[in-house]
Amino acid sequence: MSVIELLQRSELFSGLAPEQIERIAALGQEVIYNAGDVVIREDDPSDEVYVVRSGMVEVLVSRGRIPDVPGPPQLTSIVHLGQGQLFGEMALVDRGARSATVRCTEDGTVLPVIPRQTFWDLCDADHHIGYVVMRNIASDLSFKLRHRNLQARLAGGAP
Amino acid sequence: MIYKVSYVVVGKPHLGVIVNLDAPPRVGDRVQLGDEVFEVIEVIDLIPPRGDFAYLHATCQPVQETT
Repeated sequence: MSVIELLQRSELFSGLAPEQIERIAALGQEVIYNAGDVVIREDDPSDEVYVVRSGMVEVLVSRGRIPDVPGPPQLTSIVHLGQGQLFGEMALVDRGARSATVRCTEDGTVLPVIPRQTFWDLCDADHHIGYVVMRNIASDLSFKLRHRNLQARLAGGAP
Repeated sequence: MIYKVSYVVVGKPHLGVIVNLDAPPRVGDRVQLGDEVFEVIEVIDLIPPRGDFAYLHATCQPVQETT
């Protein structure tokens, strides 16, 4: 599957014309990770959005920070994301620091990376792209929240 | 149609998975989530479909070994 085909199958770009998706695909590059590789870290500055082309990643948040105990905070996994899923999208919306750590769980995980500012420049130049992507980001965040709510309700997962 | 599926596991601790599929999961399917295989016991429409996407929730449980 080409990057363009992947982006066409990604909800983030649903509703865009093929030529618009080609313009977005041209902005980014692919990076390959192995199991255990950290893609983004909680609290780091956020500059890119990622799409899972193949493989799997897990999203982790830190809990139980203990100021007097040395070492990194304990990380708790909250969800796995597979093909077609995006992460880092909050950076496109609020430009805040990373809210979670994302780590690969499979060797050879391929992640197209789209720089935030370059993407914003495209959205400023083509407001239809910007509108569609913002609508889709809202939908994706809503879906993830619904997943978390179901997980908490059915499986007694993290609230 | 692309099926965006939220898998949640009951019966043991598991994070759940969100993934896009070409075909919808069905009750009785075996699905690999991470290193483990689970059985789908319920599939519901999570929200109405939009564009090329359908949004499903699938509840899974550990596979019951039979002897």
